[in-house]
Amino acid sequence: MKTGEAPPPLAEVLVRSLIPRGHVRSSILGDLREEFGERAEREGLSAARRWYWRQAVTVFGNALRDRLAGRSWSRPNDFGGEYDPRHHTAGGGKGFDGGQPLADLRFALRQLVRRPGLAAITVFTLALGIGANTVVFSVVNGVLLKPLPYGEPDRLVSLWNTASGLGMSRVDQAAALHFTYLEEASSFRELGLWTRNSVTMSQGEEPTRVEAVWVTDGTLRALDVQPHLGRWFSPEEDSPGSPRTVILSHGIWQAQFAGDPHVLGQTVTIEGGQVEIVGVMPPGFGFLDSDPALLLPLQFDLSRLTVDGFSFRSLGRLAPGVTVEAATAELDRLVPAAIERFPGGMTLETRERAEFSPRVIPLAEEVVGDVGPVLWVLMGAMAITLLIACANVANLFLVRTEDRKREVAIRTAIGASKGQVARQFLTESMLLGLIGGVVGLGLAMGGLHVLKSLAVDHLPRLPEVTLDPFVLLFTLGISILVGLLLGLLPVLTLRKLSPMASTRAVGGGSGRHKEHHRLSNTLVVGQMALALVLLTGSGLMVRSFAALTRVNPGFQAPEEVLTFRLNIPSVQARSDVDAARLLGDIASAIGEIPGVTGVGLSSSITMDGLSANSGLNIEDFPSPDGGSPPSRRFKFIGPGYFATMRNEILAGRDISWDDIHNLNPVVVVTENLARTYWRTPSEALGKRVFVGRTLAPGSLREIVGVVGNIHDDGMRQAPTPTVFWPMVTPNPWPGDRVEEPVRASRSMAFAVRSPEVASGNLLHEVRQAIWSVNPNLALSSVQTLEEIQGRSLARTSFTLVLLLVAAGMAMILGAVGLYGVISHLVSRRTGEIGVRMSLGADAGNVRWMVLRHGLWLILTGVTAGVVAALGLTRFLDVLLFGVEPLDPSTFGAVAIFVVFVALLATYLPAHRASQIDPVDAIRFER
Amino acid sequence: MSRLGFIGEFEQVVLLAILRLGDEAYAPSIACVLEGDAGRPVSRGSLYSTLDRLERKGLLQWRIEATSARKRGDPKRRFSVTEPGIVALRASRRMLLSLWDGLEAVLEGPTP
Repeated sequence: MKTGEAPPPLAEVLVRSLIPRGHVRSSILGDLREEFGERAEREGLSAARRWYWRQAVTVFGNALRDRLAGRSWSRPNDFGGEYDPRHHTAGGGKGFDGGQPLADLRFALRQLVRRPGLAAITVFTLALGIGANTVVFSVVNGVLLKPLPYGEPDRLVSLWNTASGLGMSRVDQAAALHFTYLEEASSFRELGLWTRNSVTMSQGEEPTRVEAVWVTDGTLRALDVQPHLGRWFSPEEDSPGSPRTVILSHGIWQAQFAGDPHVLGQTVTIEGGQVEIVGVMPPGFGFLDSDPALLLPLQFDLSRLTVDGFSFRSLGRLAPGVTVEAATAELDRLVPAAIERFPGGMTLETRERAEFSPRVIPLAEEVVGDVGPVLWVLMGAMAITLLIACANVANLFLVRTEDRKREVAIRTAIGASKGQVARQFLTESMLLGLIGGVVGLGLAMGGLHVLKSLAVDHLPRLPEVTLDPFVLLFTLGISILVGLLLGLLPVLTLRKLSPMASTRAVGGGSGRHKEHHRLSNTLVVGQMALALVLLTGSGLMVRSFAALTRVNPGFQAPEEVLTFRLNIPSVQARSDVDAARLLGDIASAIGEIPGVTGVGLSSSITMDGLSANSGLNIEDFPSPDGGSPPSRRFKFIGPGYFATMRNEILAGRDISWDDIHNLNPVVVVTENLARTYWRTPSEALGKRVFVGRTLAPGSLREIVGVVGNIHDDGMRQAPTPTVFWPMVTPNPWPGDRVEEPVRASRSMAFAVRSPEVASGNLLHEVRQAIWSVNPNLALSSVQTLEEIQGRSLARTSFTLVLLLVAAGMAMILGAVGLYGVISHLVSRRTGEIGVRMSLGADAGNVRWMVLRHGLWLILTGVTAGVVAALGLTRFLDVLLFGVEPLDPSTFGAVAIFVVFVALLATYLPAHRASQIDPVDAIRFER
Repeated sequence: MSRLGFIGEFEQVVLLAILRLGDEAYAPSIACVLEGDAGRPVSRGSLYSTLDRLERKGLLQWRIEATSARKRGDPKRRFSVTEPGIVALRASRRMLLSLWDGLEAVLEGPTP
C-alpha cells in the first residue's frame, strides 16, 4: 500500500476510539487496512475511502453499543499493547514501564473507559463538590478578595462619625466638616462628598425616574477613574449658581443617545431644568455598590453651612504613607476648627456630650459591609460537602483497589516497581480530579447564574462576581488536591504489598481486608459526622427563618400593597404646601380606582431603607441636665396610612385631613415608644412631646394615637420607636434647621392596597390616575410591600437556601457512601452469610447482623458529628435569629433524621443479604 | 449448553462461514463469504460485534498470527469454531429441521 492509499486517518481514529488497545484492536485495524487496500485497487481510492468511513462508523456504533452493555471487545489477558514486533525484542517488564507520564496518562484513560460506570459516578460526585466550591469561591473572590475596581484601591477610605453618647454607632458626614477637612487636612490626597437620590429626567416624551449620584468634584478624582468622554466635574461646579452640568453613565449614553460621540454640550431636562452634558462615564463603571445613570454636581453655599445635617457620605484617597489611624487622629483634631468656622450647629459642648468623633475605614470594608461572615460560612459548608464527596469517591477507590490487586500483583511480579504502580494510581486519580474539575466548572457556570439571580439585591459587588482567572486557578487547585488525596489512599493501602503478598492476592484470599475495611469505615463515619454538621447548620437556619416569618412587621397582607415614590418638582408646585396638596389630590384619585381599598402616604414605607432620626423630648420626662434626648425615627404621613398598611391603632386615632388642613399640633407614636414612658398605650394619649434643644413656644405636640410596633430596620432588628407626624405640620424645628413655618415634603411614598396588585394592571391604572391629576410626574421605586419585606429576609433566605443545598448534597452523598460500604460488606461476606443460613440462621438474624454493623457506624458518625457541630455552630451566630447556636431540639431532630436516613441506606443491603440463597452463596464463595 | 439456548441467525451464518473457510477463517474472508456466497451485505461493525459475542459464548476462539503478508505487520486473528459451537449449530439445525418438517407443501408451493 502506498502512502496515498492509507485509510482516512480520522476514520481510523474512530475505529480505535472505543476498542481497548490490544490484539483485537490491532487485528481489526489490520483487517480493515487490508480490505481498504484491495478495494482501492479494485474500485478506486475514493470508493475505498467511502467504504472505509462507512465501516468505521458501524464499528464505532457497534463497539459503543456493546460497551454500554458492559461488553468490551477485548479480553482481560489481552493487554499486550499494540502489536509491534520490535517491542517484543525489548527487555522484560518494558510493557509496564511507565517511563513517560504520557504512557501513564494513556493507561489511566483506558482504565477510566474500561469502567465507564465507576468513572461517571466519580466524575459526577467530584464535579458536584468542585462546582459548588467554585460557585461560592467566585462570590467570595468577587465580593471579599478582589480589590475595588479603582486605581490603588487600598488607599481609598470612607469617612463617617460615631456618637456613642447618643448611642449612635454611625453618623454620616456633614458638609461643614467635609469642607473643613478639604482645606485643612493633610492626610488626604483627595476628598469627596456624595449622596444618592433619584431624579426625573426627560429625554423625549415620557419623563423617567433614574438613579443619580450627586458628587463634589473630589469624589471622582479620588476614585482615580478617567471619563470615557469629556471630563469630570470642576471645583467651580460645586458652588451654587454655576451652570448646571451632568455626566451620563455609559449605559444611558448608549440607550438614550445611541452612543452619539457628539453628545457633549447637548442638554437634557432634569427636574424640569436644562442641564448640559459634560462627560460620559467609562463602560462598566459602578459607583461603589451602585450603578447610577447620572452623576450630578453636589453644590453648597459655604456661607450658609453649619456643622449639622449629617446626611452625606464621604470618601477620600489617603496621601502616600498616611495610615488610617493617623488620618482619623488628624480629623479628630479638626472638628473644633469646623465648629468654629461654621457656627450655629454642633457646639464643643454638644460634641463632648454626644462623644462625637470621626471614623476612617477602608472603602472596601464599607462597600462589602457585613456580608463577610455569611460568605465564609457558606465557603466552609461547601468545603465540607467537597470533603464528603471525596470520602465517597475514596471509598469507591478502595473497593476498586481491592479488585485491582490482581492487576497490581501481576505488574509487580513482572518487574514494575512500587513507585511505578503508585504513579499509575496517582495519574488515574489526578485525571479523575481534573475531569471532575472541568465538569464542575460547567456546573458552576449554571450555578453562578442561579446564585446571582438569588442574591441580586443583597450581595454587594455582584457584577464583579465572575469565573475569572483567579477562580479558575482555585478550581484547578482543588481539582489537583482532590486528585492527590484520592490517589494517595490506594497507594497507602498498597504500600506494604510485597510481591509475595500480591501473588497471594491473585488467589483471591487476602489478610488485608481488615485494614481496608477500617479505612472505609472511618471514611463513612467522617461522612456521617460532616453531613450532620451541615444539617444542623441548615436546621438552625430553618428555625431562624421560621422565627423571622413569625415576627409581626407592623403590617399585614403585604402582597396586596403596591408602593412607589412620587417627587413633586418645584416647577409643578411652587411651595412645599402646594406640593403636599397635589400629593393629596393624587391619593384621592388613586383611591377611586376600582378594587383599591386604601391609599396611604408616608415619607418612608416600613423597611424601605430610608430613615430620618431626631431627638424627641417628652414634656413629662425632661432629659437630665438638658442633655440630648434619645433619638427616634420620624415619619411624616397622610391619613389612611395605618389602615392601608393594616397597622393596628392600639389607642386614640389616626392622623386626619383635619389635622393636616388646620396644622393641628398632633403626633402618633408606636407602642414601644409609648411604653418607654407609660404603662399602657392609652396612658400616652394627651401627653406632649417636642423637638429641639429647648422648649420653644408653640413647639409642643399632643400624642393623639398609639399604633402597633413597626420593624422599620428589618425583620431581624428590634422594632424601631417611631413618631408619626402629619405630612403637613407646623415646623417641628422652629428657628432651627428649616426656616419655613410649615414643614411639608415634596417627595412621598405611596402605599396602595388592592387585591389586584398581583395582576400587574393596578400599576397601569395608578399611572393613569396620577397623570389625570398632573401628567408631568414620574413614579420611582415601584415595588410591592412583599418585595420590601422579602429583601429584609433575603440574606437569611439566601444563606438558608445555599446551606440546605449543601446539607442535602452532604446527606445524599453520605447515605450513598454508607450504602456502598454496607453493600460491599454484604458482597464480601456472601459466602459467610450462606454458611450461616445453611446452618440455620434465618433472614432476621442475617438482616440484624448487617444492620448492626451499619448501626455502629451510624452512631459513631452521629456522635462525632454532634461534637463537631457543638463547636462549629457558633460561627453561625451572627446569622441566627430567635434560636440559640446550641438549640437542643434542632440538634436532636437532626440527629434523629440522620440516623433514620442512614438506617434506610443500611437496610437495603441488609435486606438483600437476608434474601441470599445459601446454595448460590456458597457456590459464589467457591 | 442449555443455558446458552439457541443462537441467532446471523451468528449461525458466521459460524458456518468459519467452518467453511477452515484454516483461512480471517475476518475479511468471513465477510467475503457472507457477502459473496450468502449474498448479504455485512457491515464490519456488526461482524466484529458478532465475533466478539460468539467468543464470549464460547462458541468460537481465535489465535493471533503475526503475518508478514501485511506491510505493517499487524496481527491477524484466525477464527475457529469450538466444540460447544459445533453443538450449538447442530441444535439449531435440528430445531429448524423439526420445524420445517411437514411444512413443505406450504413453503415450497407457489407464493400466494
